[in-house]
Amino acid sequence: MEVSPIMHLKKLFNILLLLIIIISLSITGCTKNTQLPQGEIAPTAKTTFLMGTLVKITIYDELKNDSVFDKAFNRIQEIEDKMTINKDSEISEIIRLNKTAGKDFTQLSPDTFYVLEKGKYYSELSEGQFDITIGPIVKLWNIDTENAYIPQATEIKSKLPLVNYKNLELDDHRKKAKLAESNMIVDLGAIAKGYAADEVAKILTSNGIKNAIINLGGNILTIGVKADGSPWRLGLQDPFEPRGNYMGIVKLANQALVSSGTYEKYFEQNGKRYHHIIDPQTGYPAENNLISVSIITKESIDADALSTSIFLLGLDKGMKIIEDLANTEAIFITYDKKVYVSRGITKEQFEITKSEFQLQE
Amino acid sequence: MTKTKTITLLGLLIAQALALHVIERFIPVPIPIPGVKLGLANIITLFTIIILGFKEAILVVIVRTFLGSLFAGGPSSFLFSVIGGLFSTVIMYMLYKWFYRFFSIPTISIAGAVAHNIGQIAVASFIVSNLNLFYYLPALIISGVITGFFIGLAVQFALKPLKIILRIQ
Amino acid sequence: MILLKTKKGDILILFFLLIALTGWLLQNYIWPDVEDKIAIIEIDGQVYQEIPIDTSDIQELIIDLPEDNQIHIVVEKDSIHVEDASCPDKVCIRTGAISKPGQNIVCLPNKVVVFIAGPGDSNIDDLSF
Repeated sequence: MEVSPIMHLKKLFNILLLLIIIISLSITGCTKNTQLPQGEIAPTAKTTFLMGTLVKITIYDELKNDSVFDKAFNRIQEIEDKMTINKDSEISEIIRLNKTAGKDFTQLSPDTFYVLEKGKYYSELSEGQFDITIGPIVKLWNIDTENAYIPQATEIKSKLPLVNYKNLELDDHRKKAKLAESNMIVDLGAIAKGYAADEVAKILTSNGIKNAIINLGGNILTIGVKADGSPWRLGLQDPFEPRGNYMGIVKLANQALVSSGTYEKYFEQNGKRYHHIIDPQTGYPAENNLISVSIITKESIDADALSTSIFLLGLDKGMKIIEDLANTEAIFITYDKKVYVSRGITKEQFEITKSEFQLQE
Repeated sequence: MTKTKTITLLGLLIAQALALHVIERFIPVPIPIPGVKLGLANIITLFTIIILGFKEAILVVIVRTFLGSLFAGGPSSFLFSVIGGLFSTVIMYMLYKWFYRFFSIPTISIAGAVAHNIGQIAVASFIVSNLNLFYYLPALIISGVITGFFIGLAVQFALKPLKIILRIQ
Repeated sequence: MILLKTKKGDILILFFLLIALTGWLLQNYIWPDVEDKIAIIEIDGQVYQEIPIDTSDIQELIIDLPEDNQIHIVVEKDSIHVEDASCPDKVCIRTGAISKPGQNIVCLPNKVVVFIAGPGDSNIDDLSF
């Protein structure tokens, strides 16, 4: 029996109509409710690229104008200009310090001197597991860039003697510094962002801001608490998943949270993964069972330096140091998805949201 | 058809396919997604399937995309466009061979064009390892239907006179 | 027209076309636009950068790629586009600006994908990574 083409068309339209109805129903069902609770102000956020990363500042107070963002971004730019080793910057004090290595003392601004002091302090604290003079090895690996490759073992061996924080001489009175041996390179990559976040916090606070989150490429510094008085809820990156997936929630008030992990920057060669956290003892990416370490402190600079230091120290030694430091907590995640937290972290403060991660007692 | 005639015809078809392949580079497509084209060279592919057969059509597609990538593109673009081309050829051949009773030539051509676009986007997603590219699938199907239809028409119109010229049945 | 004889199976194409049209209409006119969108830049399958596009001022991003290639991406309020790229086909530039979740820009020769993702999780205020 022949069916006329008209009949076919009618059937088609019926199916189409049904499809449209189903789909529109499902859309109205999941439309996002954008209404804010009574009395809450919509946050204002701005983002930009500075210090080689994405900087995002979110302010939860009422703002008359945006000028505070510009002040904050200008301050970060200023810090970057002083401390970078990547650009061929004329004004970078660190580049000047590295160029005069083995020769002269370099006059530094209070900013740079403070960061160097902190860097040396954490190098001492970790007994050289973290080393602020890692520059020559970092340059060999180039992991930040697309030209990353495994350096020759002989290259690494020849540069390793240059890595020694004890040869960074600091003159506290005159704010001068000197690298004792030529070809030494100071690299503030593991600490400068932390300092920048603290400085931004100072600017925001002095401009009357009471509630804000500063995010420098994943390093978080919170100011105050949420509008309803509850602490901020920060997602902790799942180290096994692409960025944006979190494995737990950390609650913070007036605190910094910085994570370091092998998942952040790496390249692969011959099926092996080479990440960016270089062990100053071997000159190769650190190999322990840790995949990430997150540190909670008052000031962001401490969290930033500690996250790398504690990662390099490993779980046992790292945990010991954390327990000895005041106002400092840590969360360790291992490759087999075990989670270790320092004593000060309560169940209330850190909640694991993915059940495959096992909290160890 | 004699062997000499087949070889001569193949040479001609490849030359024409290549010409169309190069010409269509100069015609901009409104949908800027990697690998999406008008598919003018599909005229020759479909024609080859009908006149000569499957193996010959595959040969035409491979040689055409290879030579095309020499003119512009390079080795990576060859690999990329040859997969879409082969996928489209296989689909058109199957429809022509087994379902000729159900589908007219424009429809077969549409199926080929859509298959070509889907093939391209699949390869592209594989290269960049990102499935988001399939977002453009509806737009690609629509554009495949439109271009495929006109290309099918062209083949259908040309088929009869060409068969007479070539003295096939 | 005798040349345009249709066959029974041809109706199937109409059906496909209708489905595709529905999908296209959904994407362009019906699907709700969301707030707090982020643009994700991926290079060779790896997330290179995530940029919230609702909150951005104009930002220029010049990324160095292997073999001396470069891609120049511009973020504007609510949209992102490729301004320039060192590739032969320039498809990524012709794609223009994207702003809706799911939309993407592909630079195949450089293996760069820029795509828009929906809002982040409202259960958290920010992410530490």
